[in-house]
Amino acid sequence: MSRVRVGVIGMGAMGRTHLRAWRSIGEADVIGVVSSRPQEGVAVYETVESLLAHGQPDLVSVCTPTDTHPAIVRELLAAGCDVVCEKPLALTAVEAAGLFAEAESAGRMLAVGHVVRHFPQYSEVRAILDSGRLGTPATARLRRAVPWPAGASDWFSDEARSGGVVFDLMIHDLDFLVGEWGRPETVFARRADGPGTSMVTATMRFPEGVLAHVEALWGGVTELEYSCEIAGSEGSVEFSSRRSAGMVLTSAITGAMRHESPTILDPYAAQLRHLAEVRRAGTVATSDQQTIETIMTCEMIGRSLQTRQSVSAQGWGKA
Amino acid sequence: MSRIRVGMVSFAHSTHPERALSALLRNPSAEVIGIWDDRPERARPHAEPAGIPLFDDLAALLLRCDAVVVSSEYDLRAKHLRAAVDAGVAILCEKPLAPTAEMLNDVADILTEGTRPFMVAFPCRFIPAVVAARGAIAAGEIGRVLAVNATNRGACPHDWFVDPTRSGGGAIMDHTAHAADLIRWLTGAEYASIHALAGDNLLGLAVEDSALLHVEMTNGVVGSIDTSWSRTGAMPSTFDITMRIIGTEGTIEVNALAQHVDVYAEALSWNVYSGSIDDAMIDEFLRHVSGGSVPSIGLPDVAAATALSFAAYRSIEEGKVIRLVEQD
Repeated sequence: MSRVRVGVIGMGAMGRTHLRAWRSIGEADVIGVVSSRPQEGVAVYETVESLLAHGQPDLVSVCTPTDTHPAIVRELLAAGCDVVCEKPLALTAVEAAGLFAEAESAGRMLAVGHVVRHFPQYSEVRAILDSGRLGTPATARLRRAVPWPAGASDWFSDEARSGGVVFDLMIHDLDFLVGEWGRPETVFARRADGPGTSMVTATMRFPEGVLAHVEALWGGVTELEYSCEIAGSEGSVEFSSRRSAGMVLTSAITGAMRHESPTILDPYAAQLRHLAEVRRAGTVATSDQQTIETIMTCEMIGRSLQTRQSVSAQGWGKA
Repeated sequence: MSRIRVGMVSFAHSTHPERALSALLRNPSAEVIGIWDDRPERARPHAEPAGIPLFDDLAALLLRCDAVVVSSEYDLRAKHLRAAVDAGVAILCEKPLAPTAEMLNDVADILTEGTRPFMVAFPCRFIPAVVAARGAIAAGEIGRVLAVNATNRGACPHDWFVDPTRSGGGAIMDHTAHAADLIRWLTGAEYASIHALAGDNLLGLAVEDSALLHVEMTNGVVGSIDTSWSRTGAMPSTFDITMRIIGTEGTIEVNALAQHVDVYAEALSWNVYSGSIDDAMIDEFLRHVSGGSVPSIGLPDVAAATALSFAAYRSIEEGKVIRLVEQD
């Protein structure tokens, strides 16, 4: 079995996560990373061009600030590489659709790091919904919070670059909802910001009548938190990262409490193993409509925050 | 690459052989070639749907195997392990090894003669939260471990499990070993002493249905284990594994079943999502079988966990602390 030659662009938190996950799955060789700083145990290139020229990767993980994704993805596709881009792929659905079209005409794989699709707790919920045990789904309540994200030159804080808490964090829960029920027909959102805190709540209705409440928060917590509750006519399902932690560690050294839900197969490794399999099977460049519609939903929320009115799906997505 | 031919010896245990069989069927490097059970009616419901032949002669099955999974009644394990060692096959055996201290010595002698990999079915060592806790301890995140308070409560499996002539006792025999092994594994020390209390309010059987063990390790760590068959009523799970690990600089709580989705449909049920520890354990066993290497979970581990049960009964009988080894 031929091993895949992998490059990773960007060595922030996500770049390091990709590097670790690629190394753990045993069917890939990380041939180099692009970073402005020295890295231990791996070849470092200063530019994407030098990675391509000297490393000759088959597949590249793009883990750079969001606003740089489209140009880098295009460059990699043009060089004949398969691409895994961290979410969000782009800050507009039009741009995302354009990138998938380019991948298609180049005959390359373009995948997006929607890792929550590989978190087993969300897969359980999907399976329970599919089983019909809950009857007709009616309401969904999803929540996600992280400490204020730290990035080079504080790029997360610049909404023109990161898209803010909606495009960067809420996108995970929106992707789950869109995957289940399609794009919402009506969206309404509010935000509340303070020093070191940014919160958005979005309420929405899906075409089949499901109502969803989604909360996303940067700041105000000491660790990643997430929860999901879905109720149907015959039953409900729920979990939360705090209540369903397999390990809770309280340290007098750090003064912090940590909730962990370790799994036999790490979700990041599961995601990359899945992509390696897709690639081996030769099914490349399948345009990911769910990713496009999720970005469109982020845009609808952005519009609602701007106009302070509800936003209807009609008129969206014609592009 | 040819697959490892695995045979299963007895479906006497109420759930473990079924879980091992499912994991073997999912594993691409194993081929389950047959099942033998002295009461074939127990194995038939598992063998037939999977198209696995039932053998009426244990020796005939062992002749065709590279490895066996032994899940018989505790009093029959010595006999079945003898046959497996003589046949030169690798062995994955359920805990405990024997119902009495004398039989444990016999089994230890038999296994010492074995030349093929022997592994004990301690799947709890593969619980991701337990592995994470062990990593955090090794990294010094809670300082020096002072105490480990564990539970491995269950639901009474009845049948021969409550017949002391076959099982050696009740809840203590059934549910001491897993928690005992984890405490020993996490602390890296041996059992120095034990005090045990037993009760019979849950089921009114001839054997104890509830028990609390208090232990001290050779390195001074204090521990406790609740082995009770107290998962009664509408409890969504028939067992638990929890540990509170207290260190000089912090604490760790481990709850093996916490990583579940609550489903409130017909009744409350838990869908655990942390991954299959059976798959992880079977995979590790098969890797040792094909490589001929020595599994990390072996005779000293299961012997220590089994002997702790016997000491618990002595403590109950004599009403005092039983010393197992001298403290450092």
